[in-house]
Amino acid sequence: MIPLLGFLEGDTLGVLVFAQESDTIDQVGRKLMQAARMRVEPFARFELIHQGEPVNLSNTVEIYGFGLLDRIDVRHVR
Amino acid sequence: MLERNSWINLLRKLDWQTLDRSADALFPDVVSGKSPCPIADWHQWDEPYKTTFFEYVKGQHKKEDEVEAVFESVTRLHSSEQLSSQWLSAAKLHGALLPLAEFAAVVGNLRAARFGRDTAWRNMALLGALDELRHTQIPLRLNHALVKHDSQFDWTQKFYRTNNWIAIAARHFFDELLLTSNPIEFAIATNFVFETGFTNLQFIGLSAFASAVGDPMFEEMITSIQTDEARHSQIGGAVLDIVQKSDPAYVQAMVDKWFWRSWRLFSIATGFAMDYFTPVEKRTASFKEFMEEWIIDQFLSMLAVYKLEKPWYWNIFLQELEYYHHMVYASAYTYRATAWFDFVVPGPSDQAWLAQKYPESWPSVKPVWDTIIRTWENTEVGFEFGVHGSAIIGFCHLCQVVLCGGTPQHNSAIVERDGPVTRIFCSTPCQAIFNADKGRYAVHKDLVTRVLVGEAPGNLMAMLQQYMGLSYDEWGKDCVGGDYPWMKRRTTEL
Repeated sequence: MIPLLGFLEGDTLGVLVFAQESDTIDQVGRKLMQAARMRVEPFARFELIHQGEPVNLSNTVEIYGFGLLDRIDVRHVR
Repeated sequence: MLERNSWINLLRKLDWQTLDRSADALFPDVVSGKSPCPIADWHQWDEPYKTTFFEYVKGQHKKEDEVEAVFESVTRLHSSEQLSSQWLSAAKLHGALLPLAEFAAVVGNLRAARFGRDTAWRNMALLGALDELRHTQIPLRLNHALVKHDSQFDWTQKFYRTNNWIAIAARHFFDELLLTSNPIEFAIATNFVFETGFTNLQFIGLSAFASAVGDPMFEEMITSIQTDEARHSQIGGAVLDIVQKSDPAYVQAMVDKWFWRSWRLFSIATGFAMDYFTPVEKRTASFKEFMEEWIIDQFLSMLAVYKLEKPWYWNIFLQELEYYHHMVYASAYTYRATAWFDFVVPGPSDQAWLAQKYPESWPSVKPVWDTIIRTWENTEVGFEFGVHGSAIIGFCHLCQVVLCGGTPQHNSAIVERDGPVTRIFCSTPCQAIFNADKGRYAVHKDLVTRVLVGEAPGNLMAMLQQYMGLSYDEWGKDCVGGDYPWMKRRTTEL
């Protein structure tokens, strides 16, 4: 399991997301939205940005490879 | 009898003549601070407002009588029971932040009272220490009388002895500012930046709000404290005058660092009080308007007098003036149980006021409140944890505050790798301050680090009760349990 620092578009602060190696990137994004749901309604469609680039949502955490407390941003796709 | 003007300078400059110790031995750099100039330059130290111990005692005695008079009338009438619960949250927030921080200032002043390099400076610092002792005692005494009505006021004495996240942040700031700084840094950071700059905002601005809401005790407390600040804060300018001539780069660096660190504290303490805890009909101005008058206008004028530049991050600060305390308040609302005071949801009239006063930021902060309000409308009245976060949140490795820099569209948090160590900063100024003096800050563990290494629990309940020391009666709730008449509730009450 790896903790990531997540920022949801429209939210007011950063939240820790604990990603399992078997999680898909899509699931990581949904975990962040769930953690922030008190302040931002979850998005139907979104992209997850890491180091300035969108990440393939079908990838798994194990294959993609995040660093400890890497920053991820989840942005609404309209 | 000699006129006062004939002897005051002889009195304030009366000093020991040491026969067998050098100035360096009496005032070693490691305690007195590295001096950029010879000791003779320090003997030019001059404070604009001169006072004697006799005059000091006479003046302070009168002030104590005034505080006592208000205290007697207030506790007789139990007037705190007539104040709105949201205003009382401002009193509880300030009540906890102030007193033991003031006691830390006693220590800092006493260090200057021995290790300041001029006798007039040492005398003023000694009186400053007496001032700060008074500033410790007044809120402890006044708020102790309120504990029997409301146990949250007990945090006036308890706060700094807990691992509450706000206490971790406040201790980090005040320990460095007041306890560990040498007299030169103390004078620039505390007397000049913190007291001359920010406490005017706090005590003059906030006392006007206290008067408007009908809280004479809080008004008298902070007004009385501010009269002392005006006297001992002059130490800052007098030290700055001398250091500036020899090492202007050091002065600029200290002003830059301590302005930012002070901004972090005041944006929360005073921003919350002015823009959220004061009932909207009683607000005389916004937090931003007070900052523009007392900081942007007056403090910048003072910087110009000493030929200092605006801090390098000024544009970041101006943006934060619009956004920061709103982002922290909305975030803290959804984690209100981690505080020892209650929070209020801004209603339609509050939101109209906020939209008018913060036209740039409110459109992006308002949707967060819309979500919170919708959640309350679908939640039973009084079910606090139905509208409360449970995820672990991030903190800045420097200021120890939640990561609320930037805007809701783009948070300014930075993740930095330093060999095997990962650090998180809320902003580039915090990152720069940390990296300029890494040895000073690197050992401290923020709250998330403590959770990740097993020193603090990751579960919210355990965190509240076991780690932060909050009981159910004390932890923060919504001021009315979510029962706002303007909400369109879809469920029945419990």
